[in-house]
Amino acid sequence: MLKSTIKVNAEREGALTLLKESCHNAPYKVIHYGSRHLHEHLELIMMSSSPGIMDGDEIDIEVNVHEDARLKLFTQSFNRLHPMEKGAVQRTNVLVRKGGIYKFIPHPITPFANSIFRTVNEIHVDEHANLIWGDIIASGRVHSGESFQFTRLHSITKVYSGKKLVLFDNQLLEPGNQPFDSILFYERYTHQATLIYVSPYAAELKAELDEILTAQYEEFTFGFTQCAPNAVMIRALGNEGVMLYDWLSAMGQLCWEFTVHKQEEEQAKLETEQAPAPEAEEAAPVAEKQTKRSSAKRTKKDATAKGSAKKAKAMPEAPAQQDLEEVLAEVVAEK
Amino acid sequence: MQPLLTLLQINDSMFPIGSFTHSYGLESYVSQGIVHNTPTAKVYANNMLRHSIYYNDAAFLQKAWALLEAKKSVREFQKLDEMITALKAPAEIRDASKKLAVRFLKLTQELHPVKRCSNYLSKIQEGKLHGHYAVAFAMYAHASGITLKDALLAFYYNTLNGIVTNCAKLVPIGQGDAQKILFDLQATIKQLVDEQENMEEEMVGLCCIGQEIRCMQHEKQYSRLYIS
Repeated sequence: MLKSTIKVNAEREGALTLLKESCHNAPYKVIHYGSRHLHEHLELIMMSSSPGIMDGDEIDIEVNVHEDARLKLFTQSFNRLHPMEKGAVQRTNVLVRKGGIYKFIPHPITPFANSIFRTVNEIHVDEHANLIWGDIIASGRVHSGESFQFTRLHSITKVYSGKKLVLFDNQLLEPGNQPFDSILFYERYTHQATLIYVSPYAAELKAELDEILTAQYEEFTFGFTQCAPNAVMIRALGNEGVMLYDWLSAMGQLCWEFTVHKQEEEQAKLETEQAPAPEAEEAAPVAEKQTKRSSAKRTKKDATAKGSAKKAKAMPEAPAQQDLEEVLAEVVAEK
Repeated sequence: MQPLLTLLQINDSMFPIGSFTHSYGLESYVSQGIVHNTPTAKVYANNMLRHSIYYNDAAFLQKAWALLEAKKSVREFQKLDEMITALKAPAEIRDASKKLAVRFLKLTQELHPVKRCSNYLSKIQEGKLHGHYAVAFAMYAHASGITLKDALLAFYYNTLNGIVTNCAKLVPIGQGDAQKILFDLQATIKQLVDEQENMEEEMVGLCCIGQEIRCMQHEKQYSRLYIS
């Protein structure tokens, strides 16, 4: 029975996002994921020395992504829920400020027989901020024959944009009271996955997905929708936690690349508008200066939105330089 | 105004608000062969009542009713409307709720104007509120002197009637089999109505993951007869 707290503050300084005022206590640890000098954005990984969540555990997680900061938070392994009598609770509060991007797609939750878990996520996103949020829930230790033997799992996620509640996902899984293998529920599947993208660019991303996600996979079934004017939701049912995790991570990475591209496009536009109209003889030096400052941005700006989404690189742990369609194809083909 | 006659009229499946144009995901289930005969249609109907309608539209009706009884302010209705909008993730389902609400409010306004209903309609038309059928239905039924129990019984009945009628057309199943499902689930409806008011706050809006996915997939269905 442990009470744990994890706090993360990501702040933007110049081009970089830095970790500031973070704290965590046993068994949790939040560290840089790989070298902190590899990216301009911040990549953190949440690790735990405990084999999972035990009876009576209480975990409080607070993530603040400040103005224009960019944070990817990763998990180390599946979140195992051990057998319980009282149950465990996890409370997460997230704040993403103007221009910020926060991506969090944790490994699947695996509820063992007799586990009881309640997880409440309250997420506040500025109207000009971006959230990429995933969750995957397994039915249990499926390969050991332990499926839907947990007692209760209640996951509540509320997303506020500005001060308005824009998304409310209320999922109660109670195998004793629900026919999980039946219509409306998991049917013949054992895992569910959800990805939420809340962003001022959500409607544009939805238009991209309409072109990319045109066929169903054999291994899992999915749907996506514009769940609010500034939000897109993807949901899937499948039989392999790792496969869904890889797919959701690839989709999350696509959202990330798309957001960064749109932000840079807007920034470049703003800079062009703000630059004073050059005199004829000064035109050349000004143009040169701009070229130096934003050479990377220019390359992206030239690409179409569609191209950018399709060429979104796979997440760092997947082979680099492959376009998204290849990654998606591989994820499915490997299984 | 006769409460029972009013209830029969506004709850009739032929009441022209367009409810027959929505399948709420059933069309995906049928096209994918998941609902394919009378037994599976019955399972679908039963699961819809117990696990979807009970925690969602019927619960929203009851919540709106409680606000009306307590004479709560417009702000409280706004919060309820916002919560329902946030819960209805699939776009077609959210739009269906709005379309039905608008048509229901327009039509009932012509029959017998109710101030709260006209206000709700103008807020929806101004874009200040999204608009949801269960709330509109509660407002008009409440003003017509109908009891909550009767309103809920009728609401469940008409929802189920819509389901079995759609099953008869889509699966297809026999009209007699459809009526049998409607009759056999009477006890379920009675039980759900009796328990409706005791629902814990955090159970309102529970999602059925499979149904949500099928509703989302309907947006991409190649050939379809229904709007949702």
